[in-house]
Amino acid sequence: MRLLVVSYPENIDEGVVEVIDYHLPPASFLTNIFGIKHTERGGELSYVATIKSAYFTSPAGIVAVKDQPSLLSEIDTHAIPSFYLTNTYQGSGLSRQIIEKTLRIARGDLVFYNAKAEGALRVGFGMDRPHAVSTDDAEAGGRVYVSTQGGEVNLFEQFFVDSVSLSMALLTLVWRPTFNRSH
Amino acid sequence: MSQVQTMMHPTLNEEIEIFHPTFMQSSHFKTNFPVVGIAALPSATKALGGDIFIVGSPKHYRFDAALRAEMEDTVPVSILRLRPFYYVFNRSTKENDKIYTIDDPRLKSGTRNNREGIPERKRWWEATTIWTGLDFGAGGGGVAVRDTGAEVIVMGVGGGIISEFGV
Repeated sequence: MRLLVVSYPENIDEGVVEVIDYHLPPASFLTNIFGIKHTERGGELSYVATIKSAYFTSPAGIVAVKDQPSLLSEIDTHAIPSFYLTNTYQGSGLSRQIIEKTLRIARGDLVFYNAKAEGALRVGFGMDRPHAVSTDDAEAGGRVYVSTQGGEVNLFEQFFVDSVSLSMALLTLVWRPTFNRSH
Repeated sequence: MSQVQTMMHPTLNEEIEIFHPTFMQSSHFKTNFPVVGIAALPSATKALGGDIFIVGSPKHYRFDAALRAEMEDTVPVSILRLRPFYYVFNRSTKENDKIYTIDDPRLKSGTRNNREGIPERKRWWEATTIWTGLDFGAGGGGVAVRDTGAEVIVMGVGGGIISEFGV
């Protein structure tokens, strides 16, 4: 089974991601009187799911990864993939018009949707109208490339740590309440 | 503190483990045109990363002007291949060598307390224009790439045309 993900703006302030199942139905026909040849004709698309999130402000590019797919259940038999998505603009309404369009302050972002946790997270921000996104690691998304309308290509990477020093842990404890208040 | 966190699944009402690595921008480069499409090949073993392919037009303003005026214009489009590498100063030749693999012994140029240490280096990108022309009409749209083993197939789309190149 192959799943496609498609992102698009649903209206001027928010967008959605559609998950589509691309499958190749096998067809068989008699080649001669001695046997049946199995072959494949063109693939078919069927709707699987629509994903909405407050983080999908103006979706442009999308790339799916195999890591952390959604959990299967009796109702849901498709493992929806996690994906990275770019938003051309982060704000909406007047803030988008004034800050991002008139003042041209770059606030486009890169969002990771974790299908297993059914939640989105902003992982890159401050980009000038990001557009296409790609990865050279379709398994885990270890390296993600984001191109922008400003002509920049940004490389984002995952960093793995075994442990964190005590000072860093204390710093995180102090920083986290501040971060939560600001969002 | 682990990068694996446990949480309650929002709908299935069961505890799940989420792997949550730190994710940050590590490098960037800038072109003189809007990059409208990007695709990447899987990274080869020991390479610094996969080759990436970008499509765009140095005269993108023509595409923009044509859209505004609702008229057709011919826009030159380029597809570039970019390969990551490091520069390492070669003491023998007094020149900078390009290093494309992470296991190259020349990367062990030493760090503060380790003569064999590998210092942090800036990543550079070797750009090759694999195609440029006017075939895309009003401008490039997207690019896809696949390594078949025998060759790399690059597909570009734009202006209602799909073009295929072997590199």
